[in-house]
Amino acid sequence: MIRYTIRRVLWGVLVLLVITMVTFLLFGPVLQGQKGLSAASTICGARCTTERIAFTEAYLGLNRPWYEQYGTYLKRIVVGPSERDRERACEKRPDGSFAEDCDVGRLGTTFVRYRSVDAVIRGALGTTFSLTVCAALVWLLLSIPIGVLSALRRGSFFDRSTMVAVLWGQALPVYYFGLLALYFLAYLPNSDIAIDLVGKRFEIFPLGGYADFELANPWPWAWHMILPAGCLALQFAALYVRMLRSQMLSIMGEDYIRTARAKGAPGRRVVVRHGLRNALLPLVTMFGMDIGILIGGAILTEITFGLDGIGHEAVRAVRDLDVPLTSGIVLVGALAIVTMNILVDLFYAVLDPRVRLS
Amino acid sequence: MALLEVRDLRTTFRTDDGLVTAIDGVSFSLEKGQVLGIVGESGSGKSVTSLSIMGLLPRGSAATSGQVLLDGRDLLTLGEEEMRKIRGQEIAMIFQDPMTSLNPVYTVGWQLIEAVRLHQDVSQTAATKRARDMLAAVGIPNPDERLRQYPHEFSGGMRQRVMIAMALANDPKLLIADEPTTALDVTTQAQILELIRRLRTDFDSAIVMITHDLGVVAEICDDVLVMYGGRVAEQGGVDDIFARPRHPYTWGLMGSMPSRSHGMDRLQSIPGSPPSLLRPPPGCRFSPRCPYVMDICRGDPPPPLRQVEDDPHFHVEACHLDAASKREEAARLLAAQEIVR
Ligand SMILES: Nc1ncnc2c1ncn2[C@@H]1O[C@H](COP(=O)(O)OP(=O)(O)OP(=O)(O)O)[C@@H](O)[C@H]1O
Ligand SMILES: [Mg+2]
Repeated sequence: MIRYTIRRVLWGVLVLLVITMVTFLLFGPVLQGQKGLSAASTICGARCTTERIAFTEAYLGLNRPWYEQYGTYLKRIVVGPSERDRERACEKRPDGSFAEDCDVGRLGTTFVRYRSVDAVIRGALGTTFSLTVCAALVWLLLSIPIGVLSALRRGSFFDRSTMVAVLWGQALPVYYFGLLALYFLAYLPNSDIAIDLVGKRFEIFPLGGYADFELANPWPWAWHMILPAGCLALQFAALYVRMLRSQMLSIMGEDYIRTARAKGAPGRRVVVRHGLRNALLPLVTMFGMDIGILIGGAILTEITFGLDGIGHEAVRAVRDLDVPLTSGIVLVGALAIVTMNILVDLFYAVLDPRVRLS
Repeated sequence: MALLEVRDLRTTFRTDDGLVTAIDGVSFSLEKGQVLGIVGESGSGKSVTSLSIMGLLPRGSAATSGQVLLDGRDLLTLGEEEMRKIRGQEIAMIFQDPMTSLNPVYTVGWQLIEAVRLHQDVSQTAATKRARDMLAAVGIPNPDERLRQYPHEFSGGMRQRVMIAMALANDPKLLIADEPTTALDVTTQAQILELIRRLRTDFDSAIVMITHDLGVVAEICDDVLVMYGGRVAEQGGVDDIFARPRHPYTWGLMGSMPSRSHGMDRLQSIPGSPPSLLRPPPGCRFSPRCPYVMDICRGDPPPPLRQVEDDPHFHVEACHLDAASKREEAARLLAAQEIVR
């Protein structure tokens, strides 16, 4: 198990290295090779003046060979910004220290907004992370009981309604539910129409935005999370219900389920301890991947609900040709997916003894 | 009173294509310490018979009628919770495929302990000890270590031993073994049969042994029930049936028994295939494949079960052929088998 863990982690590190290399080459030398585009102007962004491009070129050492640049780039990511990075980005005080608000990071600086990419991503990550975790909780809590019941009562009214709902949930994009929810649960109750109808406005849900999580009073955070997480969760719940239902249908026909019943295990124990325990195995892999992908940005949901998450930042970065931010987000997304992948593999090995040996 | 008495058991499945009567009027009784063999080709209703006794058929689509009396109590009238207490405690079952009959994600120990604690209010330690002792009793070396292993670390034969250990964990009165050796290789088959034979004396439980191999029946059974198309073709004591087989289907099965000396090349199977139970042939269900078929065999009613006249013990068979021809044919068959041997 320990050797397995080490192997998985080493493999993950290798994948990440390759990804840094590819992003570096794509956004650096490859773009630089394009006619009429210098790396500096690309990195600097669409609205850069000539002086700023020149400054960027010198600042990033773009005249050096690409492998040296990659080395510097990788070193900054791994060990953090160097003294030189700091000197270039921040004002040095007479006593040799830097201003406290000096903003340098491992992932570089976005020249479109004059902030470190780290700071931008850190700000966005909390939002995306909250959204992902809340949605994941909701979709698991919804889909596990529904999927199991649907399978156990195959062909019943409940099962058939569930399958219709699943079809809807999977076919309609998240912004469809999102906009409907915003209209009926946020906008309408708080508009003049509500006054006409019931003589009063209600602020049931906010029209969008995010409030930071605070332990003392988590309510504002939760209040802002309910609609976006709910809508995102619906879509995933549909997929998970379908998966779990078909998994349960096949597992409940397995011989070991008959064995469990033959030894006198009560129905619920047969379903949960013997059936569900096995049916969930493939869903663990899927769940890990989904979380990884969502942390890399739930673009549609974030935009629909005006959440400044990773997905929203990614769209902005691409629109503004903000290369440092784009490549920073790519790296963070890759890190999320690779990390989840390793966690899933390890967790799976704990859950399924058969993979431990191979 | 017999330990188990099954009377006129009839099980019907509701399927998309219509009703399927998988077993139709099966009766037998079994005393403590006795072994009953149920033989028949694939689809003859052997498994459905055992699952009906265990109450393990899907409640929605299967309907069972008749009586299953265990110590005089009719199991078919019991509720799910009462039946649950009987399963694994009074009647235990082992299945055909040991490779898929154990839950892959739990250790063998976990599954054995579960079997014990489902029916006995004992501590984890006591249950573990029981599990360990059972593994040792079925001949698994290093039981302490084996308890901590998962099913995939066991070979097929070892897994079947685990299944047997699990079935016997609560000292059941009746053990139903549904083709316990079919999925195993020949050497392992012999070992498992030997084990079951030993259990019969060690644990003193009655056994229903389902198989399609008359060789197995000859080795360990006292009584035998030959089934065809969901009905009883012939039924009686093993010695009587082997000495005086009276049903053409039994002859067919005996003819397809590989004789020990000549191996498989003498194997002669019955031509044709088992009947569709959805639209069974009228009259005797074996008539389309029977070399002795007469007009009466194809019409209703089907041949009734009748006592074999020249047999002093209980021995019944369902065939219209006259007694003299049967005697002659049986003698010819037995003589031919003698020559082969
Ligand atoms: N759940 C079910 N629904 C519908 N029909 C069934 C069901 N289970 C069994 N049957 C039918 O009952 C008949 C008898 O099946 P059974 O499994 O008892 O045969 P068997 O004698 O055990 O054969 P084998 O040697 O292959 O195990 C088969 O024709 C099968 O189609
Ligand atoms: Mg069977």
